[in-house]
Amino acid sequence: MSDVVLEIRDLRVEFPELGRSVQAVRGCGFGVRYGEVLGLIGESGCGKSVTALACLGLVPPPGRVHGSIIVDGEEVIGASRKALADLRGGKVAMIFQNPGKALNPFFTVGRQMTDVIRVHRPVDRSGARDLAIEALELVRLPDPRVVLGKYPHQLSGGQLQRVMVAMAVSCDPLILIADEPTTALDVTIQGQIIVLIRDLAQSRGLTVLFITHDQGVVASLCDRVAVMYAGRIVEMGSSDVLFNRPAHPYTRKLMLTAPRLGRGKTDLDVIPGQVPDMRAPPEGCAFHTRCSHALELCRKVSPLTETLDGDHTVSCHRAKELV
Amino acid sequence: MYRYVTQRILLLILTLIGVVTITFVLGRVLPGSPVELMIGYRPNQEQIEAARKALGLDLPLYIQYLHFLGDAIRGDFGVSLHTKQPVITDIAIRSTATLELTVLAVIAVVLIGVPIGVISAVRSNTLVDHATRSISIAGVALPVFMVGILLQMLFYGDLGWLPLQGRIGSLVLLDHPFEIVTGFYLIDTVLAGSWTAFSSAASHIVLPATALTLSTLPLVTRTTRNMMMEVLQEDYVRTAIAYGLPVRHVHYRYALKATLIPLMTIVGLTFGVLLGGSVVVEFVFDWPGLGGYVVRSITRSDFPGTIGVTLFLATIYLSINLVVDLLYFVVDPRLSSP
Amino acid sequence: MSTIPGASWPQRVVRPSWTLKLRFFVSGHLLFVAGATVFGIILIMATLAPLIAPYDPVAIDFSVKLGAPGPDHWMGNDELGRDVFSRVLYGARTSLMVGLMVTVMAIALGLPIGLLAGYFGGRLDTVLMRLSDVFLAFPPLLLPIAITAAIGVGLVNAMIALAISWFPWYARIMRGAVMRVKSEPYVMAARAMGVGHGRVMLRHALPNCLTPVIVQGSLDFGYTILAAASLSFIGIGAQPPEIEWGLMAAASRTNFLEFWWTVTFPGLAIFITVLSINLVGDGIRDILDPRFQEFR
Repeated sequence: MSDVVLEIRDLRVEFPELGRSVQAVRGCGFGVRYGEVLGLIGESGCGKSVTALACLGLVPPPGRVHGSIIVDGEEVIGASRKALADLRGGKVAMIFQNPGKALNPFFTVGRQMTDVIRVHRPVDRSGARDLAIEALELVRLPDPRVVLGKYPHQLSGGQLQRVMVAMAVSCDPLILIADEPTTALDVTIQGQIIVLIRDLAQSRGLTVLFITHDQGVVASLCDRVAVMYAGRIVEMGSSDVLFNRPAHPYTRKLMLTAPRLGRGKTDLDVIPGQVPDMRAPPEGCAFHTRCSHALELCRKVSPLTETLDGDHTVSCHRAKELV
Repeated sequence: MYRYVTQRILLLILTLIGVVTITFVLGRVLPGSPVELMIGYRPNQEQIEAARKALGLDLPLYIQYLHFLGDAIRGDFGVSLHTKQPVITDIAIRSTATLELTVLAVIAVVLIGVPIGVISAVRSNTLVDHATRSISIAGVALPVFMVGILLQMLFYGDLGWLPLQGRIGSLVLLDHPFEIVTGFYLIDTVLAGSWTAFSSAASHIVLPATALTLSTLPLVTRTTRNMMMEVLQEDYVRTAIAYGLPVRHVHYRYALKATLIPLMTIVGLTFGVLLGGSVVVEFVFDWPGLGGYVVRSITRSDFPGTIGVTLFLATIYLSINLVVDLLYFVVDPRLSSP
Repeated sequence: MSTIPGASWPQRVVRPSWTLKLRFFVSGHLLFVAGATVFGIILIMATLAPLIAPYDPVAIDFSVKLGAPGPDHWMGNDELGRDVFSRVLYGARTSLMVGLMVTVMAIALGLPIGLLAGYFGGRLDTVLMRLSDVFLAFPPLLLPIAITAAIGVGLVNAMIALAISWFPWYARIMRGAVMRVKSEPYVMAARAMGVGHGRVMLRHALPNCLTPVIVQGSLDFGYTILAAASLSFIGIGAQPPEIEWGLMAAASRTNFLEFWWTVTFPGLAIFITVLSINLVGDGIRDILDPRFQEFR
């Protein structure tokens, strides 16, 4: 397993509230291999983003995190402040959903990029500036020198997301976590950003964890896919297998809903019922409340993860008979 | 930018005209008209007529209004009935006392309240935070005059460290006269090089300034904390931390700059609260400023005095808020470089 | 029995008993409950003042002039020998009444203005809001002072003055809330169905705007009491022989250093009352408007 650069084992994140707590992630586990692009898909509120934040030790208080997250051989959960500072931006860089809000409106792009670069690389201000220009060229932004002097509000959403990608790669991280980086953008821009991330992954051997609820993006970008439901991974496999031979009833429903770029959100409404209340998640298989194949067993016993063939794993009592 | 500035200034002028109008209405339309206040006890018909003519009250209302407006613009608020001097002269003499007090308080409030609010937000839900918030909640419930009285009881009555009231010791003033240059005693005494006079002025201003500061401190601390909390929730703060920037750097540079704009608004508003509060504090400490003057004017039915001070303080307050509005340009790049 | 139709399983719902709910409520809103309890006690004491007060609050008795607190007079006596405790009790009636009246008057003045401005928008909106903004251009406390100067000193006039200088806040809140509600589909639908302006405003817009108004009102209640006490203190609010805390404090201004009880107890009464009201106000805000939650 030495090729696994990010490994998550039995991750649990809960947010205490009065009386009951919200169990955002309930025993999630998967590994990301060196140099691959892994898609993490699921509906809003299934725990994807919290999982991503946990990888950087960024679960907001009062969230409590249990389990294990190993990045490049080092444990993240419970890591020291110094170790976390090295990890954040250095080993793992993250780009966020809304590029318009992810950059500080009171500082220039250049200032923010060089601040980050100088934390992770032993360069002075002008050296950091050169690296920032290099990174902006890498993400194919025209006039990088001009862009450095701009404030975020002077750039478009697509440009800002490119800046974010540039900031992410400027410190040469091992892993890039992209948390729905295209959701807030126009359809045409979405495609450009996805192509950019794919090219970067190929040319620089970057490992990418790509979080989305848009199956179309997954098909065009990812090597492997993990499907998340109610805080757990229900199915995982190469994107080819998952699109053509999904085993879990949830994945099947998900894939059935027209896989086309930029039409993710509305299509998911096709699945009957609602995402379960994470304060009191259903017993047994969490999906049984919406599953048309559910048995008595599914309501009581939580299914184990089984391997179907090779890479393809699934957590469903009826996976084998339904395939 | 020019458009914004002219817009702001136009708005200020409009508001000022509104302010003048309100005071005009207060003076002429509501009961207790200035005539009887002016000529006093049991006038005869001729006296009333003469007074009405002298005050221009025989003219149509809109002419009266225009006269009033014109006078106000020229700073002519009439003659005070109890000092027998032009109100503007009275204001000129007393305003520096009020301004010295409020400016000192505003500086203290900002220097103390803002850091406490920021720390409280950064360490939210720790002991520091709970303590500041509890004190803030309690502090808001204490009336200004009680703060002043409690200070007098403690520092004059019990400890005898500081004088009870006044602006400077009268004997000190006799022995160490100094030239009034700025009108701020703390500055003028230093300019005159008189240490005795300075220390007397300083010891006199401590209590009233503290009372004013304490009465607005909870407000500033609390709003600063809430604004900072809001900023700390912003995506860009999370981004900065996700990229490994030192948390201290993120809080005190990235986040604080974002808090600066709402903070300036708060400082502007605080100035207003302090100007209002100074009326009470000056009364408690017998401070020779506009507050005491306006109270005396009211209790002696001296309407020109009241109106003059009200207009003057409202103008100062509005001007400060205009300055705050213009300062946005310096701080917010979204305005200065669109 | 191989497949079971989807979406038919009921979600597991836990129904906590009401005692449990109460416990959660109390633990989550500790300060609110404490404030409400204290305020309740003050309210009862104010209501029952004639029954509780050991002495006639205006009875002058020079034999106990400026008497120190003791078993007969818990809070001592003032410069006319009146019982401070009885006067503090009666003062509660004045202050609570003032707070309530000013808040109600300010709301009564502000709501219609905000409602009209927000609902009709356009030029009416601009005129109304600019007009009420002018009232905010005065430093707080200064406008009520000026108004009182014009209409004459006295408690009722001070109340009117405070209400006049306070209403713009409600006009603003109301306007904002109405503007939000106005674009809601159900209001547009009601208009499209031919429901008249007046009916739409009263039936749909008004009820939906009440939350922010109630929150603001409960917070202003305490502030108004403070402001009224300050006006009385500087001599332009309540006048003797009215019994008012600010006035009591002012009356003892000349001798408070020796006879601390004459000023301390009325001051304490204001403090505790306003504190309890503010805690209740904060609690109401947290409960009705969790967006601004400060306590967790």
